Amino acid sequence: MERRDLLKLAALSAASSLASRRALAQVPSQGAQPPALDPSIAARTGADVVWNKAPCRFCGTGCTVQVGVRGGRVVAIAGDRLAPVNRGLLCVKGYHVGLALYGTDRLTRPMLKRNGRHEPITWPEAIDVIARRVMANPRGFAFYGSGQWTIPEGYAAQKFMKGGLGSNHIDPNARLCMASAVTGYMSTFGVDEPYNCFDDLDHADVVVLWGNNMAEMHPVLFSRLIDRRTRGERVTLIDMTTRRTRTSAFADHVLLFKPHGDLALANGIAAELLRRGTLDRSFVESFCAFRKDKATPDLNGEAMTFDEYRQRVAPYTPERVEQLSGVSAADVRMLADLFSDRSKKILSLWCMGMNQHTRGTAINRMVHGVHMLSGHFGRPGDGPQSLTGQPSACGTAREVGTIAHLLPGGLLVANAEHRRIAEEIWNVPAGRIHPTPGYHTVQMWERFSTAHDRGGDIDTIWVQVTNPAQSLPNLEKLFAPSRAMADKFLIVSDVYPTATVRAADLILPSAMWVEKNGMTGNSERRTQQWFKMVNPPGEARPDVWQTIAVARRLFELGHPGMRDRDGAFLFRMRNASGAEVPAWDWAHFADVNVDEQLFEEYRRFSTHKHKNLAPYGEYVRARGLRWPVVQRDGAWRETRYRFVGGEDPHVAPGRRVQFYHSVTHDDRAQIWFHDHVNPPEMPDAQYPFWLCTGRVLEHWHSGSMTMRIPQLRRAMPNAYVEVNRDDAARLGIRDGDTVTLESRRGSLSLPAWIDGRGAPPPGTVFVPWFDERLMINNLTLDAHDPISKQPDYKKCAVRLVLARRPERTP
Amino acid sequence: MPVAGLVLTLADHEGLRGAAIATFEGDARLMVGALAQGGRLPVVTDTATLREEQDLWNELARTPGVLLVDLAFHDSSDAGEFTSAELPSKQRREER
Repeated sequence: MERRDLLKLAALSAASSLASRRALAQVPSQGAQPPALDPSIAARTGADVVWNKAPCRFCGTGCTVQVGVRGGRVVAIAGDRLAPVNRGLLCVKGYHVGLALYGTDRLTRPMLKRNGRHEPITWPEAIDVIARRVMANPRGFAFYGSGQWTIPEGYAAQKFMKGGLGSNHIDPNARLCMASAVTGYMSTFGVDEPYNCFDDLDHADVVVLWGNNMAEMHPVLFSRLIDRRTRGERVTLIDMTTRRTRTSAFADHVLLFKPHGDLALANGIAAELLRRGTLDRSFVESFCAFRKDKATPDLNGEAMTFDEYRQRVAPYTPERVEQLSGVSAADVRMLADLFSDRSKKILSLWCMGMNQHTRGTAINRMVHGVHMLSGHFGRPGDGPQSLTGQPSACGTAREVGTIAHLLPGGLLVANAEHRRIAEEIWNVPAGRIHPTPGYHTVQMWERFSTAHDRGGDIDTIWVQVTNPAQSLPNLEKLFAPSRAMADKFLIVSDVYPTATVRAADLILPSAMWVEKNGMTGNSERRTQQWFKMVNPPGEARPDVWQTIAVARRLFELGHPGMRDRDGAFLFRMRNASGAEVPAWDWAHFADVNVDEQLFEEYRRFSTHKHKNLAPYGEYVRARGLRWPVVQRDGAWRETRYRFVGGEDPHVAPGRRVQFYHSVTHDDRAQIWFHDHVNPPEMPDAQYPFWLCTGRVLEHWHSGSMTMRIPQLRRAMPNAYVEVNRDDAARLGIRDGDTVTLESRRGSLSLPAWIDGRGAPPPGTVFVPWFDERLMINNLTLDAHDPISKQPDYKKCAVRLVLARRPERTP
Repeated sequence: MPVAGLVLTLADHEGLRGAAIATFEGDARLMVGALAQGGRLPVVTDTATLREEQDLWNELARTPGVLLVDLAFHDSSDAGEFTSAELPSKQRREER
């Protein structure tokens, strides 16, 4: 049989499996680990295609894909039927993930800007340029990454900065993505990250989406949910949203709320539970305490009594909530009915809608609070869970802690004991780690875009795996000014010539995805591993090598921070016989598994906050494992539900629930009260529309990869502005007309789409941000949550002007 | 020479569904699988280029009786048609 016939049979098999929904109905065994390749695929494609597993490169779902390689090139992709997350399915982005490697404009050589032009230079020259910038002013150097860093890459950057330079000026793009979820978890449970997992999708009776367009943002998870209906199960879907989306089409209830109305809604549910007496008294009395903000909000707040909480929440009657949120009093009562019924299992899900919010920490806390107040917590399918947008936002940004205030494993730079632990593991002198958190994202870029004599004390930023020239808010303020300042130097490691790359002083070509070894951690605490499968193009090299090579050059130049207590190089690697391997030298980088060595060091941090990780080899065998992973009965076992007796190995025997990282040190979680407040900028006579920004199914993040995949680009070729039909009629706007959007910060012209993929309510417009030719973040606001420091991309005030009508053929 | 496995969701209407299946079975570019519950039809497309593939998918999506087109498998050994993005044209105004 010809290879092509085998391929077609493989394609038919995958499609038939999906058509019969067999894949979704099957829950892969939690017991023995399946083989790395799916034998059903490998058997059909012949010996010339070599298959192996890898997590998808795109979102935070963490789907496992089977990657087919022939002749040193990724030639096929299939959903992995043995993967517990996606059970054989992939979304349209996932199926095309292999093509992300093969855009024709991959960066292949280091380039330095000289006289306004980018000119090729050698790797040693590039590494030397960075090292000398750092040597000249270590305190003025900052590292900016993202949840697209693999775990070993993020760990190397983290150790380089905090353990080497003694500087905490490292922050990820995840600050713009899920920082409010972090602060919500920390101030509620005393420790970050979801307690529950995607198994909830198979068990919930009711799913409440808090401002989350799951059908487009997490389509595979949404398919898992909707597929239960096709199998005859009853799943009630409640879509709380500021605009109708594809998700709304599947919802039993669509509750359109005014921006920031979610705060009032959460209080309204809580108030009804208290008024009716349908709160879960036993759960609250046994496991909860109450808390409110101090005059100046911070992570910890201050305690209050249950009676004070009751008094504060009482004014949020359904009628008042209707006034504040726009959701009818009847629907507020309907939500309270659901939360009052403990026979039903309720899953709350959210993502950017709650996180990109100037009250993001507050609404995160309040949704946790509604679940605990009502006792909807701790059973499969019954609890609150945040979703993430980047493949390792959890694994790298949150767990490795590439955030300005964190150390690996959830430890804090401001905690002396935590610093001691980190200094011990890194074998660096006591006092090496700076006790003050570094600059968060907005601060970092603001100081980079401010002249030195006006307080702009960051003069060099190294960007890896992200595209801030497109993703930062209010770009005219945070990004553009630095590009006109001679003493500000921007280094960018990337794979394509993004907006940030084009603005860079030094460009470093990076390897991506299966061109290197990697590990990532998804939204349900699942750590996954893959091996390099193909070579990167030209001189592109992994980011982890780049970081170690710069560290080594600094070591050679005499920077004391690149030496440990014994005077040895900070990133020493050893081979199986114990001999030192110069992994900083590209010729020897592949002599050892650098990922494995970094991970084995990193996982020593993981026990301190009960985020235990297994040895590297366990992840090689598994389709990911959810931490804490502890050894029991001779096997490494993952954990589905934290804090729950019988599930979490850290819960004391006999306890039903134990919040063992409680901020009040009494095993209790905190139920917070926050008042509804208006957003910092609202529509007015001059700027009468709300602007909401977000993503679309076909494109991921800033589109730098998905816009280079022909199928995805053709399916969604450019950004647009969704306009409400009545607003359009009033303003004389027709489908396809060019409309100019203006905010107080900038303007942008783009085509109008009236009630297109989404349908905004009157007075609201929506623009996706994936299109680098149509940069909506020139208009957005840099106002941010006071605790998480996460900006609000979901609401600012704009006006619309009809700019041009396309010529139409008669 | 891309190969893809698709799942077409067909309308309940028997006449439309039957006509769509008959059309697909007569198309040499397609391999048609067994109709599953819920009107889901597995189909394999086999084309010479990515552009032809995309055109074929669009044709399938426009066929009367086809409600949805989902992708289940894709072999991308013929990638490389990408043309660089147009240069960005930033439009902004000074802060007022």
